[in-house]
Amino acid sequence: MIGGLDMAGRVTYTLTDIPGELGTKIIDQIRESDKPSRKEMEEKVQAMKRRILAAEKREKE
Amino acid sequence: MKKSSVVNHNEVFYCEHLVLTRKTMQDIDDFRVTNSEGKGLLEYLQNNAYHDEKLGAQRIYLVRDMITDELVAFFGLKTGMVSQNERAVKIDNEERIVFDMISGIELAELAVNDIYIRHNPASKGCGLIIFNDFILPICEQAKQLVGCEILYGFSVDEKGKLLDRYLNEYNFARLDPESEAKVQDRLRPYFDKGCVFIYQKI
Repeated sequence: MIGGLDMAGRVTYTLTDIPGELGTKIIDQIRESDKPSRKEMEEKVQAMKRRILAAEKREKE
Repeated sequence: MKKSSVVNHNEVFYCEHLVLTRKTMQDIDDFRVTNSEGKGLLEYLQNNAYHDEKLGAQRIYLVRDMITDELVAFFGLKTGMVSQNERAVKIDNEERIVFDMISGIELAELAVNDIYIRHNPASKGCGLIIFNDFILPICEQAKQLVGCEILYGFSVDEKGKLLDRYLNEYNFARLDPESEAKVQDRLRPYFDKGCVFIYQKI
């Protein structure tokens, strides 16, 4: 933030949160990223659930 | 499994909203997260979760074992936005503050009950099941109703295993170091020291 005094002597601020170029870069980086493929996760999850169910079955026996 | 409270289920778990019953209160008291980074999550569940749920500030979900009803995990979701590039511009000779923003859902909490895993070692790593089968479908549903570009969060444990898991198994991404430092300064929740902003498109 950059501070300064206005005509009435009150402190005012100019908000320069992130330099324009970097701020835009952050938004672009997020917005232009690819949606991750769910396929690999889905396969891992199915395998984990099979493992859990197999363990439950063994416990019952 | 009490069908009336269930939001979703798969072959091994079911997911319900946080409703305070005697059993739920006992289960929450007994919930354990043994790693040090999880202390904040446990504290949140035991002291703040119900308040946020009641207020509508977050939706808190409990994940339970399909057969035994044991409390497996909890997670919290809330809407949010990532805002950047706040700047003063002149519009019609008037100075106004504007900023760029991306709408999203924040995965505010996700924690697995270590007591449940101790009793059910085959369920180790079940956070991934919960993420894939419960969290992502909720996000997809929300996206059908309101604007929602990303799922994001703040991963504690910058140097440890948890961040790696979010990046490599849960398919989150992190920004480049310069951008990350700026986002952290602006968006980081006050209690999340050393956390890292992570995100993925939904």
